[in-house]
Amino acid sequence: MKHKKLLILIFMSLLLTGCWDKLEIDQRSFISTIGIDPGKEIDKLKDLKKIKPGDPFEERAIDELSVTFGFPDISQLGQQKGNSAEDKYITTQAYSIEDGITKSTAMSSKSIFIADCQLLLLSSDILQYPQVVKQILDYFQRQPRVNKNMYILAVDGNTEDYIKFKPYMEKNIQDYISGVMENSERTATVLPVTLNELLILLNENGNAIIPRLTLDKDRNEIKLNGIAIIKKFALVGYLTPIETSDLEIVRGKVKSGKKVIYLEGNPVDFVIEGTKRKMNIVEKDQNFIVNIDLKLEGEIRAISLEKNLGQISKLKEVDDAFNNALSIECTKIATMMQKNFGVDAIEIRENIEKYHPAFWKKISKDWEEVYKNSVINVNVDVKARRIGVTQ
Amino acid sequence: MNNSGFIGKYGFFSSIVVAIIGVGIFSLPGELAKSVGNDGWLVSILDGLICLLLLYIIYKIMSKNNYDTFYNILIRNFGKVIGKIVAFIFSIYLIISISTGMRVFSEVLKMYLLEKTPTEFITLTMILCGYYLIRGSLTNLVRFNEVAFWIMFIPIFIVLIFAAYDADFSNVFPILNSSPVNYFQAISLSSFSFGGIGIIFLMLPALKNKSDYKKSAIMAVTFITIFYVVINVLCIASSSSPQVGKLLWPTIAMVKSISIPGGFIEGLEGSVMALWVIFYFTFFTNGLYFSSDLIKDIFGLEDIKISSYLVIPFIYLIALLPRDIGELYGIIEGVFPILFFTCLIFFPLILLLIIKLKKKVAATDEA
Repeated sequence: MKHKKLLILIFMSLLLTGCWDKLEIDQRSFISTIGIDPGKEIDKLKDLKKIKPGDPFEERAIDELSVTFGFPDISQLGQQKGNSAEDKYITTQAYSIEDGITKSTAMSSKSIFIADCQLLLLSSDILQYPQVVKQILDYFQRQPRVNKNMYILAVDGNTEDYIKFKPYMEKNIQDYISGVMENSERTATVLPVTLNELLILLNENGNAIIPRLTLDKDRNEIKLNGIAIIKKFALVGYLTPIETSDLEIVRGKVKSGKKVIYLEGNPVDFVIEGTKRKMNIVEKDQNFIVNIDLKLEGEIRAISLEKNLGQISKLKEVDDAFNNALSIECTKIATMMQKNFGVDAIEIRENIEKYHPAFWKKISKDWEEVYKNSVINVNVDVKARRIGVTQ
Repeated sequence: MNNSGFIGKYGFFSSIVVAIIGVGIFSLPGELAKSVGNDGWLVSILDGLICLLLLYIIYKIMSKNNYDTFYNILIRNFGKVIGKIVAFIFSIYLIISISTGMRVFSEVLKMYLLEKTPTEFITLTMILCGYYLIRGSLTNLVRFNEVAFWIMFIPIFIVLIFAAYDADFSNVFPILNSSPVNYFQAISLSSFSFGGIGIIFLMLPALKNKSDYKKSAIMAVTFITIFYVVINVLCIASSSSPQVGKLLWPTIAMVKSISIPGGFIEGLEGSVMALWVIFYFTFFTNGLYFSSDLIKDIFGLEDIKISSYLVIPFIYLIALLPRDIGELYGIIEGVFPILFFTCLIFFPLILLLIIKLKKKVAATDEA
């Protein structure tokens, strides 16, 4: 009797597995990188507005996108072979990402699985079309099975070239970029942006900044080259790596990085170890004045053998020189973002919304105008806490 | 005083908590962000205060009736016909709340975990599991609640600590920046988050020591309020209120966006979704037991096993009735507040009034 009960239980468990759509793991291509370029027919974008919602569309679908999926060659993975593999890739012309996935699945022997994607590359050309950018990002926001922590980059030229590219230090671009991004705590010139962060920024007002990637074909190397500025879902300009690190300092988000001044012909490196930012907003008529106080702490690295930093007055001199140089640099970058691009990347808007809600209600309608006419002052206070082990 | 119950202090506390927190927690921060922006957590506190008031009303009703069962109290005070109708409306309210919850639950599960499994199958297995549990007595249900409480909350709080790591808590500012009308609207919208409070009518008569009621019930409501406040604040802090308002289930999105430095755990949402199954299951079984219990009394049936046969098909049907997710939330937002106010505020207040009047009449009769 006991055995009978046990048998029934065992057979029941066979029925209760709940596995509905069995798909073996080796039947999936795990996409690691998605690259999006303008498709061949992107010029016909205007014609799309003429199509009514009820019209049959499939036959004259306009391939506005060119989607590239990069995935690791699983055959190179294994216990003896290592844990990183070279990328393979599929490129399709499609009218949407979903269409791209469908077409790629038809071309591939495995089913396309994007839930583990780590990297999204947007070509600078596609960033010229706000309507398309909105479509792309809506897809990623709507999908439940998308890695919201994937990194987003804007690339110059064709994304396919980047996905094909074999970096010197890693076997594929996704490992390389992820490594660089995770190292960003050690350098201020790299500003990692994840899908989640981008969606939050764009949902607020359509403005954002994302890192820019460039490819040097002659020297066969790719490099993170500052940031791309997005305004109202379209690319409006770039910042150089040095400007990026200044912007990072003004944002108060820098965890590590270096700045340099020249003291009697010798470069003095100041390594930043911590930032504190205070933003003070003073209302003035219809506009406002922003005073940003930045406190940087850090350490002086090399100067010159003959120099002696042990005296208080000498160190103060260096600190003051840094204060002066950085204040000018930071004010310059803040003003440049404001006047040239009209993009608020240093969270002035958030600050007004959070701490001056009444003022925000007054100016929110013509924020852009008010922001452009306001005054931004950045005050940097550098404290070199350490000077190494010599005087 | 009727002290013949079998539910201990902890059993009572955990039953209230697990019966109230259900699938509403997925969408609550989004609903609140849509109507009051950053102040969702304030609305949750207000909801909690309203609930404390309800606790008091329920206590008055039950203690004045010698802690009899809910059905008997209704019959005694409303008379047989009206009492039955009220009990029936109450059970309809319970059935609608657990079946709309069932649909939300299976949609979320389908979206995030079981992509190709049909909704019907998820619904059916859940109903069968729930039915199996309530076939035992109320004792079994309470024991299950006691165990489930720890399984649910220890892992969730660990996950929430991870979520707090990257969050920007200054996002909760500015406070009190919406118009008063919006707050009222938000309270009515979020009533579903405390919709399970009626379970006290079922549990209180079986409480071993009735003097424990006040402390345990207040503790339970406080615990739930804190839990809701924490979830709301974390959602707003990990993204921002416009983004939270845009998402259908911001709580899951929040868990999904957790990135732990070093990355030794990835894809937390899988394990969290598995936990939500228990969250919904306790909400479902407690509601199912209570509604079956009422139906049993209304139709004079012998056993809860039989009355639950009557209830289950309706749960299945109502769960599958909404055409799409838009219609489902339309029902939840449109019908639910009305049912909540009728069943948990209007009826109890009338009941209290009748009890008071009867007492007065009795007093004048004696004089």
